[in-house]
Amino acid sequence: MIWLLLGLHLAVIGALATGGRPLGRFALLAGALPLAVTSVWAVVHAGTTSPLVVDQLWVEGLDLGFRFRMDALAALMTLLISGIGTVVFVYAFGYFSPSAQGLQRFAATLLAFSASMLGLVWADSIWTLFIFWELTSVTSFLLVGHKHEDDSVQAAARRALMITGGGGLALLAGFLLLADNSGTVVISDLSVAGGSTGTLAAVLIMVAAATKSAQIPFHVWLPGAMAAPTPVSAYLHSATMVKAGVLLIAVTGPFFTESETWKWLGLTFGITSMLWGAVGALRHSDGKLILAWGTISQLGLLITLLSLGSAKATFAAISLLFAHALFKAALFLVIGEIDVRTGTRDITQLGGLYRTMPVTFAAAVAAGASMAGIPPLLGFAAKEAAIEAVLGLEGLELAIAATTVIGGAVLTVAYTTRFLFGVFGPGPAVDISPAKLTLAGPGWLLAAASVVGFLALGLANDIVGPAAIELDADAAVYSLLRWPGLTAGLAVSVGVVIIGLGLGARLRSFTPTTPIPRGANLADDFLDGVLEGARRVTARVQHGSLPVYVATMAATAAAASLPFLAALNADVLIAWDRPLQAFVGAAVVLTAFASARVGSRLGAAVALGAVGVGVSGLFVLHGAPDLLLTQLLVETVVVVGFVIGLGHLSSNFPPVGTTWRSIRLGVAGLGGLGVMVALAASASQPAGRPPIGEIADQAVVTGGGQNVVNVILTDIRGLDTLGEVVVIGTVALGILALTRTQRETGRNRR
Amino acid sequence: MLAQVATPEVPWSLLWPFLLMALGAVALVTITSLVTELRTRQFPSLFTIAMAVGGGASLPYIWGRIGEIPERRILVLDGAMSIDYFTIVAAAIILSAVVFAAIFLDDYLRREGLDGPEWYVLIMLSASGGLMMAAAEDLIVTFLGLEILSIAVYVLAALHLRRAESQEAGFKYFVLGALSSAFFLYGIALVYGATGSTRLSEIDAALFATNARGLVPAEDSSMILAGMALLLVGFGFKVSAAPFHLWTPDVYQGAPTPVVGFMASAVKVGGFAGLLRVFLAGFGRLGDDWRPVVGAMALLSIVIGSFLAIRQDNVKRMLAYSSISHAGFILIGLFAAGSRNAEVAQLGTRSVLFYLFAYTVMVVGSFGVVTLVGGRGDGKHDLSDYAGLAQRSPILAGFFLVLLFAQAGIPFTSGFLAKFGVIQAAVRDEAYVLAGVAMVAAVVGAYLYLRIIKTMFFSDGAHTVPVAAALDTNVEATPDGAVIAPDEQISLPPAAVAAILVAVAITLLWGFAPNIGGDILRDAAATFLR
Repeated sequence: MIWLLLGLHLAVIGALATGGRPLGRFALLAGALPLAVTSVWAVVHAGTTSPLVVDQLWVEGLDLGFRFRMDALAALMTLLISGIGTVVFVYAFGYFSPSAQGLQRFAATLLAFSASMLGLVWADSIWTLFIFWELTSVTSFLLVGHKHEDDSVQAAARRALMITGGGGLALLAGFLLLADNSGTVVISDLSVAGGSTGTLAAVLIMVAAATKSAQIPFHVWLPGAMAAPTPVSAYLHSATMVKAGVLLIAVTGPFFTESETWKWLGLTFGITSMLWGAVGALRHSDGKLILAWGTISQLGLLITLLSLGSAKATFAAISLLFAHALFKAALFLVIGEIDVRTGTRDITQLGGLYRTMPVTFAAAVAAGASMAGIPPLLGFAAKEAAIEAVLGLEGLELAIAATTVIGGAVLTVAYTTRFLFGVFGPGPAVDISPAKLTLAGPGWLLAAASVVGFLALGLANDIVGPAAIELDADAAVYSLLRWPGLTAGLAVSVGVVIIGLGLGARLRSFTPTTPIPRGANLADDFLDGVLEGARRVTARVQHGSLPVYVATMAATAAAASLPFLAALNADVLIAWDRPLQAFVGAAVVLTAFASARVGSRLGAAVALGAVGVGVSGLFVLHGAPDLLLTQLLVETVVVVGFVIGLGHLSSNFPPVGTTWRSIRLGVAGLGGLGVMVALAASASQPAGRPPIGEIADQAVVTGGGQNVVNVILTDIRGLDTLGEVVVIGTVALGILALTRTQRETGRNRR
Repeated sequence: MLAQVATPEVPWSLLWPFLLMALGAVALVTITSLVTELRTRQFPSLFTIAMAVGGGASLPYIWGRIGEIPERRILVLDGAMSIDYFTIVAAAIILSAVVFAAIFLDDYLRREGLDGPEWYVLIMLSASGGLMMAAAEDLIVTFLGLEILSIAVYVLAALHLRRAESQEAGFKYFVLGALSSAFFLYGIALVYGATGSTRLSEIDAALFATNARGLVPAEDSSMILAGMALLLVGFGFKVSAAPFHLWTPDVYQGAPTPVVGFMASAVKVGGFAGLLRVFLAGFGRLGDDWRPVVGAMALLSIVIGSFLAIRQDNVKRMLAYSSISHAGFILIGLFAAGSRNAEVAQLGTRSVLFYLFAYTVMVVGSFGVVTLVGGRGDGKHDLSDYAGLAQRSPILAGFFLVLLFAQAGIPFTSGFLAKFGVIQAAVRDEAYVLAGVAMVAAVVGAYLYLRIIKTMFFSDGAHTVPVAAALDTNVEATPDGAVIAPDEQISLPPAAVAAILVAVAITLLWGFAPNIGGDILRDAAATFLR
């Protein structure tokens, strides 16, 4: 069934991407279909106690396969992804104007995200999880960058990709450590990791989760991602994708129950994000940013609870995860509707909407109250469970967790109040465009879900309870309560709401100067630095100048041969066989130097010829007249070639600067030195006698020739000679081709 | 009177693919010189394809012949060449690259008005050099193969005479290539000096044997190390591995696009085939000495190819950097292939062969797309020229999407399994740093491909093209003075599209079912086991 569902998604994505254009806006409704089917399936599996496992070996020998597992927790996530996804697709249909272009593309990408997210929550092997994890990052990147004209949007999309994609690598590394430790890549079979490996894995996985769930200091991508169209923000950046990190912590938590690092790292991420995120929500006036910072804060609370590791806290975290997805998505849909209908989402400019948009106002209050943890809403029951969980702690944990969670709750109530007042509260009424059911309905629906969730709390329990038990069997004793009774927890809640309302009311008219997103700038600067570095390095290294390439290569090679200085053997080496060699050698060096120094091209060619003649002189002195002949012939031909070529060029070399000239001379000198050292080094270690005697004998006996060189060429190394012929033939054909085309080009020009 | 000369027996049937390429080239030149009206028809292209397919058709027969022999290899030409499973796989890859190149060239040359047989002649000659390298059991033969392979491509790079960039590319490639050949030759000389032979089997035997002077070359002489280092320079240049990659971006950008496709596939495969054979069969027992160097080259190539590519704006240049990074990945496979552990070694060689095949298919397909998008004048290679390609030509954009996904190593494409294979081999070899860096770089490198994909699918063309860029690249004066408008339709010649489709199909097929042909690769990978 899992394959069938993924296949269905893929088919619709493919159909939309290739032939969706004529559908226009209706492509979005088509995109809702697979999700609707999936949500039905998720409802059937909700609260399941017998997980469905699909194992498909992909590549034999590489241990590469796909493994999915649909347990109660996955079912809960599936329900959120597909249920909210369906609603969001319908909402997007109302959100975009009928004339908007490229909606089929948008629908296909959004659906691709849904499929990746589903794959992520179903994944039960580290490879599967990693693949889908990265796919959600990529699709998110494409969706954020949907309004592609804007540079700042591009930067935001890039930042998100960089941070979450990097997190994916940390995830893979961490999982590989765990897999190495347990000898399996199946996540549900991984075993507890201890020692330094366990600590390292814990850090890597926690960091991966923190990047995906936008925890401080990795949170900088989330506010930027708000540049995405609101359906995307509601779906990816509040309800689903950002929950992936939380889910990861929930799933891997059991492997690190012993790890203090895991717990305290998680608490650090969670608590700082919870508090700073809430403060951030109070400092912004853009409605979407308030909600985004609120998301950071809420995710921080979830991670805090999960890091505590107690069954009660785990249960509370799962409940809150469920509640948060519902109310936060609803609030996003509401602010998106307001944005479309009023043209702004700035709370300092909005006002009076409680009169003109009463139903939406009611929906926002319901969802907001759920966020603030006020009855009769699902958020209340979940928040209550959370407060109970932290009050049940002992010692240091109690001190830290209780104060921060309660403080965070106060701030949450405060920014909720400020948000609701700012958007809907009294003030000059803004103009609004007519209502549209597809735009408003989805928000109402999700807000209603928070109410229904509380009224039918047994249903919510049936979904949340088994999911928590999946993580911690001890969670079975807990359930969401509609009325906790007159407990300490309730007293705290009442206090929280009262203080929060007061604070929110005070800050309602607080219009901050928009804070500078230092973190985001830092991330961007880093990325820009890398890109700029890449550009600079390429500009420096890959400048396209052939002489510099050659000089670099020659210098490197020469420098590489200098270590062979150590291999020189003074006992074997002699300066010369006879003094005449020294004179000829000196002449070669001098002419070589002259060829490098002389300014006229002809002069250089002549000097080069002189070098060649000098070398052939050395051959004679060594007793190799045949080599002399060959060398002289080659030199003659080359010089003739030079002269012909020089006819097309100016008589002098173009002038070069002194620095470059000295560099070139230096490289040439170094090259000469390098070759000399290497030659002397090889001469220091002769490997036996040269086979000349043998060859001479064989030449007569086998080859039937007196000229040894000829016999070598034709008999002993006949194949090589044939090869050389082919090489020369190739060169000839190449020259022919070049000149022929040249001629034809010339004719065309005329 | 001449003595009876003992000539080595030449088993012609085993050399069939090589002969078809080398003699086919000569035949094509001769035929088109005599029958001049055949020069500009499709004849040269069809002839080349026929030769390559004919050569390919003989491979199963040769495979069977090898299977008859227990040692699974046939030494021919007095031991200068070895016909074994590895040779056959390499030959199959090179011959497929020839077929692709011939198909793309045909439309390209007509479009550019450069019709003529010499392109195909040089392609076939170059391929024959590649085949020679893959089979060479003797360093001199390797060198000959390298030269034949290269010289033809130097000319091909410069053959688009209406584009100054093409000539610049050819010239640069030639000068730097000649320099690297000199290094290579010097390396051969040093190896010969140290071991007294250029035959790989004899080098291997001489390494740890005491020679006439009472020295053991592998232990007492640094000459063999210097020789290996210089050989690595020569090979590194051919396969464009860092730090010998400098020519690649410049040459890829300037050379005619179908030729670049050939360079990135056949030339690279030939280079790697020679590299593998020389270093595994010849210097296999010196793995501890050369593996660190190969590993370092791999790291450098991957890092340079991935990180420096992200700021490029020319698609051909981007693909050049990507080819550097691919070379790095293949070198990781070679690193593992040099392991003393037979299982790891076989896994490594196998991963290299898989990578080479998968890479060849995706890279020829990619450059096929680039050829078509490049348009008349072969100049539309800026990233901005790809803006909105999905709307102008959905088929091409769709094909390119798959091929780029494959190059990025996205799952369900052959590219993913290729990368996975080499990384897996490195992990088995416990080279965690290599594997780790490769993985990070693979993700960073994916950004490069994502940029192209994003431009194709998520930009609407017109308004994202800066005016200056449009003036520079999109409006190209044709020889007859006509100006092509920027919104010129991309022409889709059926043969080229079909070829790209085949490349896409293979890429996807191997992405889903990578075990197809697994036995063949396994047998070929066993060639160098001792």
